[in-house]
Order: sequence, then C-alpha cells, then structure tokens
Amino acid sequence: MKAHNYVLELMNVTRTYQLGKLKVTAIKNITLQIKAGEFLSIMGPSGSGKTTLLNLIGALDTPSEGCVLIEGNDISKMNDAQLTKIRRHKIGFIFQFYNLIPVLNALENVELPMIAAKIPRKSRERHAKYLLSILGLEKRLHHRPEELSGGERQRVAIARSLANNPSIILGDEPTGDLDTETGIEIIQFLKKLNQEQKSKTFIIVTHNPLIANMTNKIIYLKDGTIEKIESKI
Amino acid sequence: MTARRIIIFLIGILFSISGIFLCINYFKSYISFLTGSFLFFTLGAFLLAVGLFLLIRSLHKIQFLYFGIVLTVFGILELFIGFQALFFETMNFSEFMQIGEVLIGGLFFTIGMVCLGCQILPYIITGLSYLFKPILGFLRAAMTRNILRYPRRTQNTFAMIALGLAFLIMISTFLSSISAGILPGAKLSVGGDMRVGWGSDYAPLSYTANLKGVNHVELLVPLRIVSSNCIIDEYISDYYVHFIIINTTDYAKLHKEPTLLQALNPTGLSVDDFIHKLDQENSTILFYELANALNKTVGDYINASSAEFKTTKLQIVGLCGRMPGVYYTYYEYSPPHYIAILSWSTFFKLTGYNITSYPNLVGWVVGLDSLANDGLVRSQFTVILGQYRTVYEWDIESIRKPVEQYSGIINTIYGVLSQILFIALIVSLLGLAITMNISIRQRRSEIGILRAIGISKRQILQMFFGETITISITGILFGSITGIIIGYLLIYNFPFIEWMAVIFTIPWTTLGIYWTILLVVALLSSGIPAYNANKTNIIDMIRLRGG
Repeated sequence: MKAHNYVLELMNVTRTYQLGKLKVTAIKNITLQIKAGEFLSIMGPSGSGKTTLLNLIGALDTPSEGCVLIEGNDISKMNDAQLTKIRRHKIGFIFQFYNLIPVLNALENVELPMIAAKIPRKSRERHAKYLLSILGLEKRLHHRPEELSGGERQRVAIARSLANNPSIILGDEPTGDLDTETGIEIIQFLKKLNQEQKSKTFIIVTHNPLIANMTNKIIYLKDGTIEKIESKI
Repeated sequence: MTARRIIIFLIGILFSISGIFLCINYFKSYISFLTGSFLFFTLGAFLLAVGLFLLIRSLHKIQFLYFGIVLTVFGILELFIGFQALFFETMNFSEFMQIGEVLIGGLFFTIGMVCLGCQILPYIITGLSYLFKPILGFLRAAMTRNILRYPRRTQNTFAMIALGLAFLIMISTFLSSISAGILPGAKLSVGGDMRVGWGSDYAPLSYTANLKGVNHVELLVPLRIVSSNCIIDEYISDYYVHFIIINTTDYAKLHKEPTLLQALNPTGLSVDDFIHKLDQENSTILFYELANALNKTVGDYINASSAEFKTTKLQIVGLCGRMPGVYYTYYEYSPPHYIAILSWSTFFKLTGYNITSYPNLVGWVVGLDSLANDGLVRSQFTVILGQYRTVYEWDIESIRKPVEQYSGIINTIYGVLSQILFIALIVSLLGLAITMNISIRQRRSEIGILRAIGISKRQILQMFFGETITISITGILFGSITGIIIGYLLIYNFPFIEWMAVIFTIPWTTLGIYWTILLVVALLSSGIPAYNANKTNIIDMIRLRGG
C-alpha cells in the first residue's frame, strides 16, 4: 500500500487558539481521509470550525495536536519555508472575496504563483493564457480586477489556483460573494474540471446547501467535530 | 477629505507666511549674513518652499506639469535677472534686490523641479524599476504598480526626500565652495603665500637676490609703484592715481587655482589669462573706481603720464576690483588712491627701465613651496631686511592669518547651519519612515494573499525593498541634481565680501553620507514593518481584507 493513497489525511487533529486568557478549541480530534480526485464540500453553522479545517488542509496553519498529511507529508512538523513550498506546489486557493492583487491584470494575477515556482516567462504566460481561456476569459486577459465582474474575478481566482497544477484545490465560500446563478455556474465549472482532471481534489467550504448538493461528498461539522459524512455516489 | 485638505491648506499658509517673514528678515540684514542672517534665509527658504509645495498640493485637480514648467521657467528667469543685476549696473538694481532675485529664483527653481519631478514620476519609477529586474523578475511589475497605485503618497514621499535633500545639498555645496576658496581667498588678499611691503619708502632691487636665497622661497615677484605726478586724461582732482608695474609672467604663476575671483575680474577669465592681457602693447588694467570716475570701460583709451614718462595713449584691456597683493599694500581709502596696472614690458617701453635695472622697488609677493614653515621664512626675511638700515616701515604678511580668520568665520556659519540641517534631516527622515510604515501596514492583507499562494518571505521583502529603494533613489536623484544646480547658481551669483574667493566644489563625502542615511532609513522603515508583517499569521493578514 502506497503511503499517499490518500491525498489528504488528518489524524486526531485539534486546533486551539488563545484569545486573551481564554483558550478556544476550534476543531477537536478530527480524523479524516480524502482520496485524490474527490469533489467534496464542508458544511456547518458559523463557528463550527469549517475555515479552521480548511486553513489546516491548506498549510496556512498547523495543528495544535495531531497531524495533517498532504500526499504523505506531515505539515505539522514543517518549517515556514517548507509550508510555503507546499502551498506553492500542492495547494490552490479560491477565496470568497477573490483576493486578487488589484494592481495586476488577470493574466499577471494568474502568473503570480508560477513566478514563485520559478517557471520561465514564456511557459507561464502560455499556461496562464490557456487557463484563462478555458475559463472563458481570453478577452479579459489585460483587465485589472476592478474592471471585471464578480463572476469574472472568481474565474481569474480559479485560474490562479490552478496555475501550479496543484493536487488540492480549496474553496473558502467561493460563491459567497456571487449571485446564485453565477455561483452555480462556478461550481459547475469546478465540477467539470474535477471530472476532466481526475487527480485533482476539490474541497469547498460553503453555507449554501444548494452548492453543497452539487458536490459528491458533504462533511458536516458541528462544534469543531465531524457530525456526519454524506456520500452522494 | 475636505477637512484634511483644509488642514493641509492652512499648514501651507502658515509655512509660507513664516517663510516670507524669515526671508524678509534676511533680506533686511543681508550684509551681516555672517552673523546669522544667512541662517534666517536658509530656514525661511526651506519653510517657504515646503509651504508653497503644500499650497500647490492642497489645491484639487492641479496640473503639476504646468505648475512645474511655470515655476522652473520663472526661477531661471529670476536667476538670470539676478545675475545680470549683479554684474551689469545698467540694470540699476540695488544689491538688496539682486540677492533677493537670486535667492527667490533659486527657491522657485527648486519647487518647480520637485513639481516637475512629481509629474514625470511614473516614467522615472518605471525606468528605474528595470534595475531590479534581475532580482525581482516578474515581481518588478507588481512592485512598480504598487508604487504608482497611490500616486499622492508616492509623490509626497518623493517630494519630501527631494525637497529636503535639495536644500541640504545646496547649503553643503555653498559651504564647501567657500571652504575650498579659503586658501585662494587668503592668497587673494596677501598676493601670494607671503608679501613683503613697504609703507612709503622704496626698497632696493638688490634685496631680491638675498630674499630669493631664503629656504622654501619658490618665487619672488617684485612690484613697483609709480606715484609721482601721475595723471590720466585731464583728470585732476583731490584723488591720487598710482601706476602699479608687475611682471605678468611671474605674477600669474602665483595664482593658478581655479578661483572664481569675482572681485578681481568678472569676465570669468583665469588670473593667468586676465593678467596676460597686459602683455599687449601699451595696455592697462584699471580699478573699477578709476574707470567709473573716468567714465571708461574695456576697449577705451586713456592718456597717461607721470614724472617718469610722457603722456602716452594706453588701451584699457581689463577692469578689476582689486589685485592680489596690490590692494592692501598700496590702496588706501582716505584719501582715495586710484590704481592703474601696467606690465613691465609697457613700463620699459615708456621709461627705458627694465626689471633688473630699475633701482627702487616697493615690495614683493612671495610664493613658497609646500614644505615651507611660515614662521621660519618670516624670521629669515626679518634678519635679511634688518641688515639694510636705509629702509624702514616694512612689513611681512603671510596667508596664515587670513586663513585662520576665514576658517573661523566659515566654521561659525557651518556650526549654526549644521544644526538646522540636522533638524531638517531628522524631520525628513521621520516623515519618510512614517509614510513607509503606513504604506506597508495598509498592505498587510496583500502580503497575506501573496504568502497564501506560495510567494516566499524573502520575495516579499525584496519587493518592498525594491519599492522603497526606487522611490528613494528617485527622490535622491532629483534632490541632489536640484541642490547642486542651486548651489552652483548661488555660489556664482552671491555678492561675496571682497576678500572671499570661492571654488565650486561638490561635497561628495557629505552627499554620500546623506544618501546612505536616507537609503538606510528608507530600507529600515519599509523593512521592519514588512518583516513584522511577514511574521504575522497568514490567516490574520488575509482576514484584514474583509473576508
């Protein structure tokens, strides 16, 4: 059995925060295994620990207890430089408010992660153009975020998340700032990508049951623990 | 925003009025600038500049380009008028106005340059940013656009550096040029490294050989005065006219420094070229006072005669305010003695006396080598002159005394000014540090996003350093060029006291110190907050974006 049969493994993960004198446990003793190519969502009420879980999976944070394995690598023991590399090569982020760099145009925003990965200029430009074209933005390459609609901005953010060909794509309420129609369109596109590129795992945090129902698996969180896992297939 | 504009506008008015008052104070007492009025000008000019700049900036939708062009052209025009007024009396400006014109012109020029700089800032920054391409690669574009993203903030930072530095460098250049002119200035008053002069009697030429034998004496240039029955044209009055006879070749050797020597001649010629004009047949150089009294100028002819030569037509080849070594020895204010200078060749032609056959002299100007000890040479001269009991009332003067005197004055000015410069520098640096700090703090969420998508801490620091260095270098470039230009114009237009000579000198060491301090402060003020931001949790930084 290969060590990285699972693209993502969480073993007894707990994350606590110190808020002044108060110790807050955001997630408690979570154990979870996610296979490569899954398309799943995480649902739960506010304060249930969804974003904390996503941050741990995305190597933005490290657990207080337990371990998080991304393709078999335990990130809880990694230093900052190693975590940066994991985020650069293994993870793609899609944020609720797009988080594009306002001074760069669509093409440059998509190129940004590839710069960190030291991909030659021509290659990264070609790849960024390709990603934007499959997202239907071939005519908006040189527009800055402020000149794009919400849906277009989110598509640029998706293209950016795919730039370094990561194995895990994380969406933190990616449709939260969009109207329902555009939101569904975005999720459909992600699903299509998941079907085309079977090795890529998509994990989407959402409040919206409509969005969650479009995924193949739903993980319900409550009070920092997994309440249930619902498989659609 | 409106309240902010009103506050800036009021600060601008406050600064401007303070500046004007301080400048007026300076203009009123400009003659005694050595005792502190210059201090008022510097502070006043700086405040006025900042005030005007703030006023301009406070107006909404102002086209800096047009303001910049108008102010710069006006500044140059003012300087030109000031220059003309200083040296060509047809302008009929009072000296008071001349200084005002020059200084206000310089001030307007500085503000104009900074305004122009603000206008073309995007192009300069884009150009400069290519320097960082090898380090930053594609992040260069992000860096450049981040700099230009907040144009007002960038312009403010740039203007703060450029304006502060321009004044610092202007004053440093001014003082360095005066300092560099101390030695030539002292030589200008003494005539050489040392002067042996007589009050009323003549000294025999035969002394020359003995004095020449003194250790470290390189050059001994005899000067001869003709004072009996000297008449020029039909000018007869209560005033005395003297002819001073000099050996042009030897005399010019004493003054090889590239001194401005404004008081000597305003033509911009070197002393060598100026003096060698006398080699032309039957020519003379007149002191200004004499030329004015005769209503003559360069190119005109005068009829000169004395007890030793008949009336002869001489052409005026130059005018001067003084002659090194001649002025103090022979010129007296009361009653006024007017001076005309002839070369030995002309004098020989008129009288038949050459430099070796003429029996009596009045004195020598002496050139010493670099190893000479002033006191030892003086004592040897004293021994030699003491052997001749036929002469008395002689005096030996060396450049040591005026050098000490001038150095003392310059040090006093520098001491006072350096305190103001230091305060100005601290204020500029604080402003720079605060601006940089705010700028980076406001962009912490962006740092978070960059970190989240895999940009390393090092790359982020490089990007911020690149931004800071680019703005700083742009400010340094403009401030330095403007400061040097204004310093140059000031040096070449300032009506110096007669004994002062100046050599335009760019104080590279001081400039280097200013540049280094500015860059270090700029790097620290962006590096520390960027470093701290880097240490902050990425999630917290992204959360700042409102997500």
